[in-house]
Amino acid sequence: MVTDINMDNSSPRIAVIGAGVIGMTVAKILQQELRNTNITIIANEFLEDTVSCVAAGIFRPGTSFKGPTKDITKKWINNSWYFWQDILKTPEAPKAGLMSVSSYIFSKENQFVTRNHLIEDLVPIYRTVEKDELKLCGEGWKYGSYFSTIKIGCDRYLPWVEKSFIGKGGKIEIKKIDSFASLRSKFDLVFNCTGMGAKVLCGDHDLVALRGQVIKVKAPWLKMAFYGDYDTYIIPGIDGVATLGGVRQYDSYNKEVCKYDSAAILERCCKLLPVLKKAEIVAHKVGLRPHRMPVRVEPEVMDGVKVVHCYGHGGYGVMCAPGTAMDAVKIGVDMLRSNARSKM
Amino acid sequence: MTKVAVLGAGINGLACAVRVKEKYPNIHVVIIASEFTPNTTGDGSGGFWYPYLCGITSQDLLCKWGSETYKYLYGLWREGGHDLCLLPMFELYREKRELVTHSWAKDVLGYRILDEKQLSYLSGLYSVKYVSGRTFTSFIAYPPTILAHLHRRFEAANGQTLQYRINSLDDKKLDDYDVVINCLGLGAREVVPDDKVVPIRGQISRVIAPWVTNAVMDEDSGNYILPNVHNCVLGGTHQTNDFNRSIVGEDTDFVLNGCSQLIPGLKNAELITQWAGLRPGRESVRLEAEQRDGKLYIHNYGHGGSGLTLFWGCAADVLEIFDKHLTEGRKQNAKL
Repeated sequence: MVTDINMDNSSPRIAVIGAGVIGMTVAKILQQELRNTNITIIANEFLEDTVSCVAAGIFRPGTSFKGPTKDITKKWINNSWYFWQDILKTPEAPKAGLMSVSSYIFSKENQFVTRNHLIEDLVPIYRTVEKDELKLCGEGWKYGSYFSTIKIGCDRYLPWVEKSFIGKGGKIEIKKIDSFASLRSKFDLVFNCTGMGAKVLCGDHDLVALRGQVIKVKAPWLKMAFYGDYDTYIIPGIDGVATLGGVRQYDSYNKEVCKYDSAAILERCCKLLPVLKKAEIVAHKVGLRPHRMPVRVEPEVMDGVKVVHCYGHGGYGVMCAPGTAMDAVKIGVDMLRSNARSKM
Repeated sequence: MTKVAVLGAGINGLACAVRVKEKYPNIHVVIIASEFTPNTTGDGSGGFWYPYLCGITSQDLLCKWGSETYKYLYGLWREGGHDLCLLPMFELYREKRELVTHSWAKDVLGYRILDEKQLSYLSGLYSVKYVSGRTFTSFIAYPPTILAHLHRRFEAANGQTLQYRINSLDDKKLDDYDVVINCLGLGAREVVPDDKVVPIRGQISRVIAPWVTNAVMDEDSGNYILPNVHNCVLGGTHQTNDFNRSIVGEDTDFVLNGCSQLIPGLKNAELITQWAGLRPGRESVRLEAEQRDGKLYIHNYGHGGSGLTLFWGCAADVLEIFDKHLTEGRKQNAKL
């Protein structure tokens, strides 16, 4: 739905701070929703430097993923799913980093941890595994689920969105924003998609780094994802490079690769799929998930600047970028409309 | 001392040769074939475990042979390094059909008849109205790797090979052998001869698309998509009595356009090669013993589109026939 916001035909000057999956998706949806746009993405980290590109990007939210209400949370997840499905069925899918992926999730503890009330009704298949499927990853697994979902690889998605964004007249500025005040005279609306950066930028103490570490390995034979008691996962990649994980270290800001975490991840993943012992390691990566309960999608006027916050997605930013971005854009459009009304 | 000749070095010939030679290291086993990997029919095939185009071969046999082969592939997958992919397959129909549960359903992982929700999703994803279908978790091999693996196993067991084109079962080259295991595939048509063996021509294209993670068979259109470790196979045709090994433009269009309609991302996928192979079709697989001119022939041919699906199980039955033959031979010798 394309909208005109201003009565006087000039486009509002919009800034999107942050060029990770959230910022890029907000920019994309802004261009989709508004007739005339004047959008500038301002960021100091792009592509491989973003947390988004460390993530495997599988569409499977943690069961504690939280928006302001249960309904909003579900809406974000559902809208995100349909957004991705719309791209998945087009020729652009591989360029956009999108692929289908089916997954086995096993546990030695209980069936509950293999379930996911947030997506069980949404994805086409989510069922309990059969006894013989439990043996896929060796002895000892007592419980499991099988589900089909999708994955978004940001190493392709981000450049794909950027190309389209610039093609439609979007601008990019490489700069670190230290305060909203610096943007006051330049922009009518600012989307704060700074992820972890919001901690300092907004002084938001509810935002906590949830440190993650992964190993990228060559595994062109891997066509399915495997989870072992949740913390251990093996997720195929669009170009045959799989993501092995992981760790979830609350309030850890260590951006360096920890060799003990690597060893632990490799050991746990090899217990799940012993064939990984022979896999060639491509890279070790660390990402600080910007965790917040709830995820912050709301308006605020800061230093005289109209801001829409869209950050704090934790480990579910890639999958839920579209749903949260749609809400953020709506909020932003409303803010500008109220601005226009007050001008009359 | 028993001397065994295995005719054909395709997936069935190699499997039989390996099973016999490994069980009986002291028996002389030679594979006699005109083609070896990577030039056999199986080498060019999609490598998908799925009973397909094997005529009226009984469900019991398909189940027995297929499940043994599935287990074998499963073991290779667990071991790693054999270029096997584990992945879901979807068999989809555009026309309403009463779908029976296959005899081998309990022997594979996750076999299900698709429900409304799943059909609706797949219809949306592939932009085709599918009204029924099945899914299960299967394997896709890269056949040259499996064939090379079996060849290495055979040589490690001191098996011998001879490149030679047999022209009949009475060929002089077979004079010295007491047991002939006939895995000639399409070659059986001329050599046995057996006019029930007919080529079922299949043309495929291979593209680079490592992001394809499901095996898809659109049963009513005839298109299928089979991703393997190195590339993605797009198919296909099944033209009975067609001996043409050249690429046919019309078939290329059918394969590429049809598959791109299902998965539009394939439109821009790099095409690396095309291939037309002749599946050894027969009304049913011929696996049986035949005593002829003082020799035991164990026939094992006519697997249609199911070589990669049945090979290890068929080889087990061939071995059983061979075991019996040796036992009877010993009994006879004991009597003398």
